[in-house]
Amino acid sequence: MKSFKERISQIYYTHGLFCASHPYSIIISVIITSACICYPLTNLPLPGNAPVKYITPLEGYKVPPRVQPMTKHDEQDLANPRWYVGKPKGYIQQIVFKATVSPWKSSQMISTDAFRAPLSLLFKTLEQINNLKVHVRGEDITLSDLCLRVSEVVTRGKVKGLLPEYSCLLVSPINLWQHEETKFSKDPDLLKTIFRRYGQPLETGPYVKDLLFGIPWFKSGISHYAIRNKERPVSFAITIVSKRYDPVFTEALRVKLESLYPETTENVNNTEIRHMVHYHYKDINYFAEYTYLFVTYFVLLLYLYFSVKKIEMVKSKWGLAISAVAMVIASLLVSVSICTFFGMTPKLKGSEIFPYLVVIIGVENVVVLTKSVVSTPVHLDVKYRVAQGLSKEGWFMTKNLVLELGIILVGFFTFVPAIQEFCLFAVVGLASDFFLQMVFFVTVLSVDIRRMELSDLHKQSVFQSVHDNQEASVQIEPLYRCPVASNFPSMAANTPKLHKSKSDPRLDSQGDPHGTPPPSPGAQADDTFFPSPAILELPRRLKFLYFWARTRIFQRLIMVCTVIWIALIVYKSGLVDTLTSQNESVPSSYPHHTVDTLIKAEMLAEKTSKAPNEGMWGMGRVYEYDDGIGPVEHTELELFDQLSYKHWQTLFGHYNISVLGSYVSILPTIHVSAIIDPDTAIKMRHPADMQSSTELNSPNQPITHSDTLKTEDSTNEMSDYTHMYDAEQLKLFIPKSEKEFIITVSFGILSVIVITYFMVVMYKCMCSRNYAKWRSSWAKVRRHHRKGANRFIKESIPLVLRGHNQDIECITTDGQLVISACLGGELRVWDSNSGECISTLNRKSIIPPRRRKPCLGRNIEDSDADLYAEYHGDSFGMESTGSSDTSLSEKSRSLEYSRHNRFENEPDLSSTISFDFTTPDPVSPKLSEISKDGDASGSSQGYDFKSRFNKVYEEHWQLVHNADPTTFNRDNRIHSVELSGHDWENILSPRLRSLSTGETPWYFDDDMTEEIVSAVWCLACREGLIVVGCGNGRVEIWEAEAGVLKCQYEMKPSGVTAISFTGNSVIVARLDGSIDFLALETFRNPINPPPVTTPSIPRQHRGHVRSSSEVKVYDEILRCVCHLSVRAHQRPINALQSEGGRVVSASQDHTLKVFRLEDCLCLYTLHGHEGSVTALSLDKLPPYSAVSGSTDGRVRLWDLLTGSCVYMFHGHDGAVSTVTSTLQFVISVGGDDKLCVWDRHKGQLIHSMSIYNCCGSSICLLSNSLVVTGSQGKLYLCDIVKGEIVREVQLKDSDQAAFVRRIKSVGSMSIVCDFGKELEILHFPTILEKRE
Amino acid sequence: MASIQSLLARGTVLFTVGVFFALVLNLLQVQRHVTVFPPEVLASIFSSAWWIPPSCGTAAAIIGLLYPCLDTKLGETQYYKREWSSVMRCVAVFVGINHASAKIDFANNMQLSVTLAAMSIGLWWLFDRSRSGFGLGVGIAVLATFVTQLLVYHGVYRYTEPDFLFVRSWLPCIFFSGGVTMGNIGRQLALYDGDTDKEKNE
Repeated sequence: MKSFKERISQIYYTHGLFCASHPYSIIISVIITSACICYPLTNLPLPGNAPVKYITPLEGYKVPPRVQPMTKHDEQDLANPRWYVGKPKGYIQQIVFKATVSPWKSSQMISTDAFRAPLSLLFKTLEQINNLKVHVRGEDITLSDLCLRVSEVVTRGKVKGLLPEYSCLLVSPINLWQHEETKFSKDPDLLKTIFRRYGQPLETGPYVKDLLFGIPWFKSGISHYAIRNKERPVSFAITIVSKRYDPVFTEALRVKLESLYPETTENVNNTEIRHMVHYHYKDINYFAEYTYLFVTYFVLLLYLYFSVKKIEMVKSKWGLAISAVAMVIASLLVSVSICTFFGMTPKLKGSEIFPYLVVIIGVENVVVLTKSVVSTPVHLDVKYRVAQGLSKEGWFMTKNLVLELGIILVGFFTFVPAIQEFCLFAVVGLASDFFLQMVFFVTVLSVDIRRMELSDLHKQSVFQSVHDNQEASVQIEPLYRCPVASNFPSMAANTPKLHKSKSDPRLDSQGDPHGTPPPSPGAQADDTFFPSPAILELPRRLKFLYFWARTRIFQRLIMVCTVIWIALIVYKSGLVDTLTSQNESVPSSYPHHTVDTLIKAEMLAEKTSKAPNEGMWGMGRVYEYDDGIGPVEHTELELFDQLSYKHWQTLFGHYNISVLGSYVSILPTIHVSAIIDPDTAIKMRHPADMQSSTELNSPNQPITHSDTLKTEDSTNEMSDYTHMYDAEQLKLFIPKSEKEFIITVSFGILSVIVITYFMVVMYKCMCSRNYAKWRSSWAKVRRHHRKGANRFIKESIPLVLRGHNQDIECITTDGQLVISACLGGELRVWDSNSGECISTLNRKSIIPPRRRKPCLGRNIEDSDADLYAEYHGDSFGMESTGSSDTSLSEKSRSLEYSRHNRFENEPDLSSTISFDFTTPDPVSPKLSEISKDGDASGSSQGYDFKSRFNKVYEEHWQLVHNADPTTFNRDNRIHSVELSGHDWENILSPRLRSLSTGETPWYFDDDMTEEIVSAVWCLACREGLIVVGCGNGRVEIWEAEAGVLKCQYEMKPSGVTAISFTGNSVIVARLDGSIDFLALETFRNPINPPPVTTPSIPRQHRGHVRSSSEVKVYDEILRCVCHLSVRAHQRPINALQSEGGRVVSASQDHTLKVFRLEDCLCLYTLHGHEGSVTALSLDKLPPYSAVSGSTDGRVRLWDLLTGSCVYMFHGHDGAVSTVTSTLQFVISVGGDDKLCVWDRHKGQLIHSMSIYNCCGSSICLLSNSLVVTGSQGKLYLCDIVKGEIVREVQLKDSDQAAFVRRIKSVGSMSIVCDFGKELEILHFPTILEKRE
Repeated sequence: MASIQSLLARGTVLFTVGVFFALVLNLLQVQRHVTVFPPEVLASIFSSAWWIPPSCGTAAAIIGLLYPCLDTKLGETQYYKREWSSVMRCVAVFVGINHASAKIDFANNMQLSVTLAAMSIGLWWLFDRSRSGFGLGVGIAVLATFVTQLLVYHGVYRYTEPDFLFVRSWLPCIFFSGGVTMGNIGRQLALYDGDTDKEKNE
């Protein structure tokens, strides 16, 4: 279940990513799609305006009573609709003509012949009708007795002359010629007269010609541009409106007409339909109806208002609200359209069910979506925000959708047609709304959020507080990445697939003899932007080939072509036609049709199935009469059904008669068929006809219009058109029906979109601006191909360095040198290649000179400054008289701080250790308090303190003693303290400020040494010089290989927690939160000419030492000058690093500070962490950003140029113990045993690896994709790109094994780590093996 | 003091809503010629059965106040976060149910009743989902139907086509859904009151 949920959210994530990536194209395509789907709606009556249809049988018809019966009645009356009361506004009798000129002599005849002769039939017919007298019940009835007499036409325009006035309401096409036969025969252009616009300029349909013809226009067979010279049946109707219904008269009329046109009987059965159709036009002023409609709409409005009100935190609230509402409406339209397309006729009143549909569909998802997307971290890229927001709510939305669909589906089981119809609408509406939400709204939202980001970019600080509260964002890898997007280099950098190839050149650097530490993005940057010359030399055509190959354009083109081809096959095979024709035949199954039509339809269907060429058949009604239906056969007997729903309303409207609230009754239509002899038709021809047709039918006349009705026998046509196309073939390309036309158009639009898309892609590929990048990416691809080898990482047996007597506290590396310090304060220098100990720095044996050599290393020039500094130093020293206790207490603190004393050496100390990094260290305030007390009240306070730690210290001294038993015997603690006071006085009398080594290392007496040996808290090493930061606040500088103390600095008693050594400056961070900026100065003995002050400790100097003659060493004197000491933090500083001219300190007071190295100026204070900042890492190369981790489990990426937080990564449950960064990733290890890899550019979690027992281990980058981290007795080699542990190195398999805490890289692909008292050097050689 | 005031305000609002619903829904029924009113609709609303809307309003007020009260008494947690939009949705569905009962032609009364019952349960499930709401709704339905039966029995009121003793069989369903809807509105109002109280306290 959970994986299912994840899967769903993954799908949503991918979808969101896709939508937000291509917003505009998606919006446009969605709008086009819905417009296409809604197209059939144009033929549908507007909701609420459609007349209500009611059918009563013709037999036994009587005019319904004036009022609806109130009391109980029989079934029949109850079934009548409420409006079916009183007399109708009129009985409408239509006489539909279908006439054609046959046989068609194409050689002699012209196209207008097809219209003139049939229309002329009307004159004769109307005369007959007007003169018809029927003897009923002793009196003669003529049409004028029955018909509805109308007065003046009220509408303006030319309609006046065309419609009858002060006579019977009887209209027919010949009204166009005012019933005058001469006018008709003299009319030179019939079609022009027919198609002329009468009425007002902005008239909407039905037009006058529709009223006069009385049938749906497309059925009339008259087209404006009847170019093709062929036989065509023409249809038109005479419409008679009578005020009462006389069945006898109607019958007589029918008989009369049938006798006039003998062809009728062969083509239609006029007695087939025996019912009357009533159309009711609803009254708009129905109070009750509208009150409740008003109520529902009001409720709907409130609902929408309250829902939309909840959309917050977006740029344009109104825009989103409108799009949400528009979406709901569009989905309803789509739903109606789809339902009608599949043959359902809406019977419910649209305006009535509309509010309920909206409420059922709802805009909840929209609100939820907006909320979810808005609540994603603000600093992310928009598309990831959208994707995350979607994925968060994906499961919920899917569940809701399924639930709602389920509830609605229950409605189908009520078996009430109205409810079923409603449910059907609702289901389709829900589905389409969901689709629109997912595609349209999400995209609109992404556009909106992007706009907001642009406008609010400068208000970042405002959002800072917002995204501080963010929960951990869901990290989901999209299912599918855009294939085109991955071709673009900018995006490709983010895909893990290409990381591999990117990191490959990095691995190459391992063979580099320089042994620079791996994180060297500079080399990689070169790789990317300056392709190697070998690649540039390739011939152009090869490049082009590669281009083809890479973009896979051929494959894609072929794919598209195949799809189009298949689509064409499907289209040709008539599948679409069959589908559309099925839709056509659906209405025939409706209940109001009689059984006869049903049977007829069935017979037709049978015929079609028997037709041999099934594939070509089934074009709907168009070809129906090809299969044995005569040209003038009436196939649809209720043509008035297809008339515009405003037809009767308009007709009556011309006489100011309103049919609203009333109804009209339509009597069964009388159908008349007539076949006219061609000779008669030619005889009637107007001279102008001949002329125009010869012009039109000139041989090169192209076919511009297709005919819906094709009547000619094919041989004739063949003879006419063989010089153009094969007529049969031509027919296939002409859309035969409207639906087919729509499908064709949508196919066309689709292909246009596809082609445009490909053109854009092609353009982007070819665009000159990206050319360099493209080229570089080819280079990469090619190199990848050329290599043909697999890389394996091997491991060697660890090199064990033994020598320390206590657990190792600090490690640092310098080139091939490894410097380590143990808890006892012993420093050793090792060679990482051979594993031998080069030197042991015996710090216990060193004592600073009691008296400084007078003027030994001093120039005359700097005397003033020096003197001042000396005074300063003296006063400082005076202040710290009572600090011996403090230093001791800090020593104990150092033990705490190191967190190593829980191992076997000093078990007793565990009680004083605070492992809890998540809360601010309670010891530190106490400490500062104590030190203050010490300053104020002297040593008495110190004794209290001592008594507390006395035992611990005895233990410690004991251990030190044991470790080096040959050295001097120890006094007890109290003695040493007494002495210390004495000693300090002694020391203070000379100058304390800087101590230079004299001619010889100073070996000193016992009590002094005891005081001086202090725990090493931190180490830094550079070019053979080791800077040691001690727990008692002293900074010592040693010569690594020689093992001599060069210089020491002891100004403050506060322990040194971090040291950074760059150039000639040493930055010292202390426990009390202060930072000292020290500069190393080299002096030459003035005896040796000339006395030069070298500002840096250059290589030259080292060379001196190396090549050393003893004499030279004496010449070089190193001094340490404090430039500035600032109290940077209120709490102890946890880490300090310096890179690129910036010094960054991380403190327990939740902040980081950025200093400029040159002038020691504090540039920024970085706020944001909510706990002690425990880890810090700086970039070795531009962009010189910093990564910090804190006890609140968050990792932050800072931009040091602006001092702003770029990203906040939240993935750890406990404190973050180590962070490091590469050019693409940020890697962090937390106290929760997790190693997290983050994407530096997107701020996403890429991998989270669980590493057993690694808590607080440091990590070390081997290459850009490999890191080493430690655990209990183990080392793990992790691939950060793949997020897996590549190798596990077992140092010792035991529960008692020490934890590997410190790992440093030595050279490339080698690391050194501490392991209890030992050091281990591991080499990870990589070998290349040829690919199979 | 403030609580009494707010209670009165809520009661008034609910009363108004109840009267309004009574009028509108009656109109729907009039269309269908179910209840006996003269055909002149306007006159009927204000003259013949003048006591119906007020009594409906009173009932609505009682129900609307009872629901939140019961909620606090029973301490039942609400399934949904109360929002005006969902209340509006509920109202719309309620009107829809009424509309369906008035307009749709059912084959027989049984089908009508069953469909409406299902709709009412659906309404409750969609917008309430609390047991107290269901219980109260059922209680109201039974009581109100009984009262109507009594009224019709005594000839105060008459249905054109009674099929369930003296009244229409769908009446309980309508009462039930009406109760749930009113309860929803009442709860929302109470929530609003609580909020303002909190604000005042702060």
